[in-house]
Amino acid sequence: MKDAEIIAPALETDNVSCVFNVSQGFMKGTKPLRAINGVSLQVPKGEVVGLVGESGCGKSTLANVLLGLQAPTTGDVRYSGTSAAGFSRKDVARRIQPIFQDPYSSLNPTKTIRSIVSQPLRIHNVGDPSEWDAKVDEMLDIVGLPSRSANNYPSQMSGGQRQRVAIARALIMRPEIVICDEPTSALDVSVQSQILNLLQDLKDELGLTYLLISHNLAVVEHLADRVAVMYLGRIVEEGPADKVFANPRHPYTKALLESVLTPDPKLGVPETHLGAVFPNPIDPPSGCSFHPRCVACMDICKSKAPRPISSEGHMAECHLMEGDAQ
Amino acid sequence: MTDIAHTPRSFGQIVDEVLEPSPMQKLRKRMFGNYSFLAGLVIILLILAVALLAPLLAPHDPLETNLSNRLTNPFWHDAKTLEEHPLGTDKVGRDYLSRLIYGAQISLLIGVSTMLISGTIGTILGVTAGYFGGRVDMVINFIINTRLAMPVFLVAMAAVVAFGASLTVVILVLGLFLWDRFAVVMRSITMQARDLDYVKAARAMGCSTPYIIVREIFPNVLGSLTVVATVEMANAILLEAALSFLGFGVQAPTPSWGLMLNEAREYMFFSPWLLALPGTCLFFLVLAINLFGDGLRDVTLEKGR
Repeated sequence: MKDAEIIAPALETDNVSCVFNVSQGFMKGTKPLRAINGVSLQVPKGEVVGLVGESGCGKSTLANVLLGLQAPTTGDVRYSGTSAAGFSRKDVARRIQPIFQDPYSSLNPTKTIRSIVSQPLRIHNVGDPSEWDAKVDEMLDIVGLPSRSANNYPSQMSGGQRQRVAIARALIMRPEIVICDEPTSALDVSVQSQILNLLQDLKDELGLTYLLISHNLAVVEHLADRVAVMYLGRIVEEGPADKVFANPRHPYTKALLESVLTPDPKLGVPETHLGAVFPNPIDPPSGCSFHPRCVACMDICKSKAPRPISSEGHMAECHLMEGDAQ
Repeated sequence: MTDIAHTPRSFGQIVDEVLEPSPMQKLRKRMFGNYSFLAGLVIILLILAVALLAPLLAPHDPLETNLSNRLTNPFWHDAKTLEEHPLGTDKVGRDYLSRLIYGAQISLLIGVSTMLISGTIGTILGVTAGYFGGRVDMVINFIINTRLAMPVFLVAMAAVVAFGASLTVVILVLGLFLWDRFAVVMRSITMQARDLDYVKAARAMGCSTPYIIVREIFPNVLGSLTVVATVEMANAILLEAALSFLGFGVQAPTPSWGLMLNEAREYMFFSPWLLALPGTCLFFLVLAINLFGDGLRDVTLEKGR
């Protein structure tokens, strides 16, 4: 698959694992928690990869690793083919920037919008300080804020406006990759589409690459070119968005798609067959980590972890696939 | 496609017209609506003015003794004294009003310098512990607990005995001892601030750790810091008075309100004003600082709790 690609993907993780040692209590020692367990993910340049999965599956830890905030225990992160191993935090920051979920906590309340948006320029000491103001005004205009708002404080703005400020701050250094961590889930429904359309437009105008982390499948379906489904620290299914949504291969993806709420109240809350229990990542299940909740669980699932099987650029990790693929 | 990015400009202008007041405007509004804050502020400013203008306001040198004119009565007992010694004289004939006026200097000096020393120590320890967590937090917590296990008063008296009693020793001892509340409060607030997304954004931007602590976190804990500072200032003033009253603090003939209480002890039943006057001064200063601190908390912390 790699040979087929002429350009290296904008962002690539190679078998990245992240293990935390969690204290079991006073004098009881520590146990390893595998927040990410051997994730290999590729985000091609100019595309949007959606990363979905329920809370606690390791999405945010993966985002931290990609942003250089958390060193992976093993494995390698590559930006456009260059390994991040020797990079300083500033080197990483120039290539990749985050947009966070909650625009109420992602902007420092004691700073003006101008100070927030120009901060990356000051930290990296880019260009002439006399041009910074003009750059901020230009960036605010690009994200659809009046330049007058530069002198406001975050508390004077609405959630949607604040998210636009956060986007301006992320993009002012013109990074190649933007990690959108639930960019709309803290916003009013009426504002969500505005922000999503803005992200879409910015991607086309500035040639950005997005990793879109979300548990809102509608958002992912709307924006993403490819989708990766994460469960308990592993990517269990990955493929083109239309294929994954139309023809999910992993039972977990099927359950996630069934769990989408419909606007019709008569249909009630959908049944996912997942049960309520998310396994404890300190003590993961044997074999396939999804088997205790899987509707199609077989004997082999309890003892042997499935291997990734791909066909037509659509990968899934499930014993059910063994028959089809061979 | 591009027009979507530009349409909000018109929205933005509408929103701009009904813009919320800026944080400064809100702060000013809350300040002038908070009576305990205003009352505290007025009394503190008054006492501060008296302390600063002491050489102009005081009718006499506070140290000048006149043994032939001892223990004269204040004006409400003896109208004759109104011009010369409005509040009478003490047991060695020093003008009581002048001593009270200069006493404000000592109290404020001790309060402010103790607060600065202990505030610096406590804030550095607390912010460090709160930001780094883990082992650093454990070590600093141990230091805080060690400090809390020591009785301030006993250690202060021991230090005064060891190093001799003077204004400097009192300030240093109190300053090196009263940082525990700063450390505890700063630690917990920094812990809350450190996990907020703007700190994460700063780190993802490539900011250095000292920059994040000083420029991102510190401005956000400043409100709570000033509240703790006022409480600790009142505390330091009271402790100085208590130490001086016991003879372990500021030494005679320096005009300190606590020391004046001590000197007036034996005349309690015959000249009660000798006790009542410095006591009232202390009471109003500490009350004002506490009112101010309470009001400041309501004014600075949003959604006033």
